Amino acid sequence: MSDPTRSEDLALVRRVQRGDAAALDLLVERYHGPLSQFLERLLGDAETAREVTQETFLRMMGAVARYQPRAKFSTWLYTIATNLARDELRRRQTRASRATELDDADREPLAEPPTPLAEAALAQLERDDIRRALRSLSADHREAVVLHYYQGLSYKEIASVCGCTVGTVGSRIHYAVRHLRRHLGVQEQAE
Amino acid sequence: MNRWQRRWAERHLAAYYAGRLSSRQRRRLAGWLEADPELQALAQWHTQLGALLRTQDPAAPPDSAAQLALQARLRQELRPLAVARLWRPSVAAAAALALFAGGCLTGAAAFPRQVERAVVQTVVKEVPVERRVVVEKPVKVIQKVPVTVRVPVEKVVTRWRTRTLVRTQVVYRSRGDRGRGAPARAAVPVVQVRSSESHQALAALPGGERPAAVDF
Repeated sequence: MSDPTRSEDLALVRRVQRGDAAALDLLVERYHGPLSQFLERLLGDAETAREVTQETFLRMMGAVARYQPRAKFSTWLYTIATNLARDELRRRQTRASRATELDDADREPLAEPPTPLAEAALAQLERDDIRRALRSLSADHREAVVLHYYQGLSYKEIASVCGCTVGTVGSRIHYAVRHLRRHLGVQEQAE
Repeated sequence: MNRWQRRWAERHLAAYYAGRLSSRQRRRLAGWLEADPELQALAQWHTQLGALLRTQDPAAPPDSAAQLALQARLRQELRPLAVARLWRPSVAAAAALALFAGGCLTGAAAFPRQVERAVVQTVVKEVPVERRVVVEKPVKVIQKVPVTVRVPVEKVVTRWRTRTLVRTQVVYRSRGDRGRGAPARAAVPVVQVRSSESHQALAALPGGERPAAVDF
């Protein structure tokens, strides 16, 4: 079964490879929004997400001449973005470990366990609660959740983006979902 | 449902809703879901989560200013790409022309000489030939490790016996081959050496590349 988005993307990429600026604009138009939102959720910071989005497209331009349609263009783009986001998270981690003199009070507040919520109260959850819960996930688990639930990628595509097996994706999503459930205070109510 | 079954069911709920389970696994999980309220609660959470995330944390409106700036920046990157695409064939054409011109100026065809240089060692002898069978096989994978192998080129049937013309040449095997299977595609071009042409071909070879032995 052919995927119309896939063939459209491929046609656009071919045109970009021939130096067509209009096709490039269309590709950016199609993926700029989803990609920057994906990165914002992954990195938890709009400004950095914007920079990484730009870097992703620049890397894409650097490699587009060599692009082979083995995977979907979107999967390829998300792979570049994910790798750049991982680099950024690693840099942050290094910076954080170096800042030993940092006062505890100045640290970015970690996700504190919320008060238990009823299932009905889920609808009352604020965006910040969700973001905080997402931030409390490990980077791998967050990637899997954001790619699956927000970006709508299949397990196979996520496996390709993250460089792991489909089984690992399933496992990551399982643990992430369980963690989110606990973090958002649902499990306590269910039991 | 025992502890292990519960664990399996919990681990596979996401895959169940993503349609990634086999029909047998799906039936088994559906049966457990009907019987176990606790598992039902978890399953409900799985189905709710996607909707919850999208409704409570919706996509922000696209930042059109950033997008326009990015498009302008990328268009600048597009120019060198287009120039490179124009350059590549023209450079290749110029190189081919230079080779041809060089060959004409030195009074010899440039391409055959290159081919002859590729023959490292050829074992061949002029014999009365009744029929020939080309036995060269197409092979694949070029990678890292250069090894010297003897590649059968032709089988020559003479009046008395059948001989295989063998050429020793450097080919590249993939690391995973470990000496098994067909050799990788020759790094140097495989040339069909016919015995009637062999003496001319050998005469054209530089001294160091002449065959060490004649087998027939």
